[in-house]
Amino acid sequence: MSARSFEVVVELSAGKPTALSLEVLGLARRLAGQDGGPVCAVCPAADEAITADLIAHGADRVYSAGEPLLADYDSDAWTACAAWAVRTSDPAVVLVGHTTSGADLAPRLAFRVQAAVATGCLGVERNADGLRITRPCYGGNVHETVSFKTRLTVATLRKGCFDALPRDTARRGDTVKIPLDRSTLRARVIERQRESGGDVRLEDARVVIAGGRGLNGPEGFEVLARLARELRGAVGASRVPCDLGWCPHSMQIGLTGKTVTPELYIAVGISGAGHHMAGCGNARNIIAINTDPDAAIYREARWGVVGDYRKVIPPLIEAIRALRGAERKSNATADRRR
Amino acid sequence: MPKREIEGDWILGWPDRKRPAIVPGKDAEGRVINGRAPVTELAGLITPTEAYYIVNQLEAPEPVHPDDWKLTVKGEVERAFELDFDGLMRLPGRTVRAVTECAGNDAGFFDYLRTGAKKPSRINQQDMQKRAEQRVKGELPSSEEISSESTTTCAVSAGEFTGAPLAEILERAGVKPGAVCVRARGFDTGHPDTAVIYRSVGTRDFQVPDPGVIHYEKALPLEKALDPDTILAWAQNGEYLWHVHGSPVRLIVPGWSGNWWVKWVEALEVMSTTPRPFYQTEYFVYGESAQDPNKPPLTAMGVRNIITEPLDEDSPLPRGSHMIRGRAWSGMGAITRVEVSLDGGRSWTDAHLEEPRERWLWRRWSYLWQANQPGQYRIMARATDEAGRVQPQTPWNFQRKHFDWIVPTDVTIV
Amino acid sequence: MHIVVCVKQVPDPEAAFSMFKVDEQAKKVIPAPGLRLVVSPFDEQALEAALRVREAAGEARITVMTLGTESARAALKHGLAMGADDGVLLADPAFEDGDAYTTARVLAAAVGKLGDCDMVLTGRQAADWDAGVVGCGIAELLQLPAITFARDVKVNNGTVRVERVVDTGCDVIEAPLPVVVTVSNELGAARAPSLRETMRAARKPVVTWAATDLGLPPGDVGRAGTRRTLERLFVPERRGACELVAGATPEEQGAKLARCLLEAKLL
Repeated sequence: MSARSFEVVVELSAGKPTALSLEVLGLARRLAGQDGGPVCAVCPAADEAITADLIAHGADRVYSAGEPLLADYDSDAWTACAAWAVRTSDPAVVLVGHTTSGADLAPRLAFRVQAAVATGCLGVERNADGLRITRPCYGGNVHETVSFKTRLTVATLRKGCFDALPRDTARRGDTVKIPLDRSTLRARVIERQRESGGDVRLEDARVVIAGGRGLNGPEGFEVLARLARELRGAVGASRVPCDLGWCPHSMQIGLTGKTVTPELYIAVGISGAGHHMAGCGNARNIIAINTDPDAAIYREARWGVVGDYRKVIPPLIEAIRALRGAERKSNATADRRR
Repeated sequence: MPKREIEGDWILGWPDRKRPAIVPGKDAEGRVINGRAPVTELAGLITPTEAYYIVNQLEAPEPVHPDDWKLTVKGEVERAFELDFDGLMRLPGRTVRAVTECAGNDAGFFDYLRTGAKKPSRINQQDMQKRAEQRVKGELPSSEEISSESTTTCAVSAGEFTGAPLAEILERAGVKPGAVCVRARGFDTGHPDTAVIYRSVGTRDFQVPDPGVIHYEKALPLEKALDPDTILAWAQNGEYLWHVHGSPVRLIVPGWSGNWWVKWVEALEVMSTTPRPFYQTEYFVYGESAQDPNKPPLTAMGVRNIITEPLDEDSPLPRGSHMIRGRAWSGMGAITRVEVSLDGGRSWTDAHLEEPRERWLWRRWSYLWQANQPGQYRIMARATDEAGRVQPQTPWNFQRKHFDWIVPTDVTIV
Repeated sequence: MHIVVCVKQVPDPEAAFSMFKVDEQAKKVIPAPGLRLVVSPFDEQALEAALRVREAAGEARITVMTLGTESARAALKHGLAMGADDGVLLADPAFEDGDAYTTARVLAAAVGKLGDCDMVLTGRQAADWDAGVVGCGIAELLQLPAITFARDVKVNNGTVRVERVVDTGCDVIEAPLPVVVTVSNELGAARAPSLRETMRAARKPVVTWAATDLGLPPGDVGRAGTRRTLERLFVPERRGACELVAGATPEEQGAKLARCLLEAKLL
């Protein structure tokens, strides 16, 4: 496996590599280690600035088709680009973030280039025999560790399991132009509908408040929204409220749905079943508010409140306001004393 | 006009109608601990076991092997003894067909008729699973939940039970003079569930004493215990009792509400003073308020009647002839008459009552309605039993039990 | 139009996880005996998508297909009772112990054998292994475009129009038939089989194919054809130590929790 390259397919958001892509890049760098070959980033829309950014975050080589229109995911085009890069650089592994794009690209690419594929991975190791990955299954309740028989493995990685490298502008790398034959593309994206959403995107939010079946109805989300405003966080949901029509599916967090890795995750009326925890398990601090003291969520949480969220959250909001006010006052006093 | 599609399923390998089953609530292990019967889908008199309603007050116990089970008979008797399962089955048996009904069934109709609260539905059942989860974890519903939730309907079924008459067992024991009741005890134990009581009463504004961990027990008055139809059943609907229905042995008390039908019976104690079991002193009692000093225990049910067709939800209906159907039963004896009114109770006509006429089983009745004029119709039905009682018999009581008032069905003919 | 829907039979994913045992030695997940086997919910929704396409088009042939043992026949019956026209059971001891690659290989070969398929629909992932690979695998093996995470599928004049769920919203994709589409839960609930369709289902044809029927060499299927090796199967450790915020009233609990957050510098 030595001297073969490690390839990462990079996604963009607002013209920059996503945080998850940089985490994956960091992982590739670590897997390559001392004896591995170059770390190559495949980013069909990468321009000079993006290329420089990727190199600063660990890439030795950036493959780009130079097509700004490919900044957003296009299945046929990205698969073609990634396949071309694979055929040219013969990597040992191709890594991509586990998003709706990565989960689409990875199996297509793997089958196209005769590779094995593993999706939604939580852990990746490299040893003398090759790659070993760990991923959740059975709704997140069971983990499997898998090794591969093929020359190349494609894997998608879950957010928050790996760390990006710190930005180092001293790093150097080169670029390769991917020739894209547009006549081979058959599916076209004819429209992209994006949520206006809140001010904060769920995946990027530092604070996430999520509601489950225990909200007992769509009005519950208004209570969560008030808390979210106070904490400057985003509101999400487990699968049940989405399927019941209490909130849009775009708020769903879980094995299917979004993965979030906030500093603070407040789970309200959520039982803590594996499917949901697979989407939020890597949050730094989890708080559970539930009427059921035996709910599985308490096993994952740092703090738990057993009670009715409609009774607990309003005083919580008041108390936060009061404490913030008091802190501001004491800081101001401290400033005056100096 | 919502015409419900008939759902299909594979029964014994053949394509067939999906069999009606309870709307279940399960515990954390996925085991069913309660369920409502699909009353409006029943086509005959006996309710199939998989559609039979289930209500538990305490925790459902772990199953006991019939070889490991014993019935203890003791107390004010000449000869106390123990019976094993074979011994019980060797007693001369009897088969009884009777309606089982939860005392709190249709409680929500009290408020509908008295104060215009939301009308409970017989087909849009409330979420049993959520209730089961809350219940198993001892969670208390909030006051808003209590007032906004719809209450129990369809906690009624009818079955055929085979077992040994209590009278047989008591005769072998030799009841001493001065005995007044038989306390039947189940091997299910637990803390009484305050949530259930709050829900049934419709408010949290009163104290429920905590007796600690108790067995489910009822002290059956001797006279009813000696009734030939009061049996200790080992079989329901032709097969050994299912665990959820009280296996190995369940007490059958025809005409009296479901709380008397002690499941998982392990002991019978004859007593000369009436004890005060929680489930006949704090709960399952009449009374005008929680503070009422006079709270006698519930016993025989009133005169009951439900219209199963048409339902409010079937409206609007086209002009023409429609069958109005229902079932009637009484806690005191056989139903002898059912009358139907199509004008909100101003005039009444006899409905056709189906045979057989049995003491403890409900009777199906029907009425062919020529609905030729479009308009709103308030259909009512009124039952009379062999003791001459006409519904309603049960006054409003603070626990909203033994509801037996006339519930109209409102439909529009177009 | 001919639509093929690939379904997988799995143990009921709604069952409590306590009904499953993980045998670390045998590296198998063992469901409790008597646990219901059902069609994987996303696959049911794929069938629902096919039925909606047929309703809009007026007519189409829908084949429901599954790779499994004899018990998987029940999954086909369910599909036929929902409204599919015919079934294909891919059963052969040679197929056992495969992985997503060999599954896709067999399904693609079967779709190829059927001949005139315009669209393959399947769920985005199976409710047991959650991999989400087979659908795209079938597409690549048949050299067809793949469109994933569909919440709406419409066919018009030989073109498919799919609303595809993405993390930040929805993309609308168009492609000429034939295509492979994987379906996500946002499509909505699948219909319950009606009595009429269940009765018709009993007379609908089901064929069974083995490896030889598909012309697949033994090295390409089952354990021999896998691209991965299962090293370990386990239930992950749960970290413990949750601090329950005490309080006689919800107001107290709320206030205490706020203080915990402040002290942990999370405000």
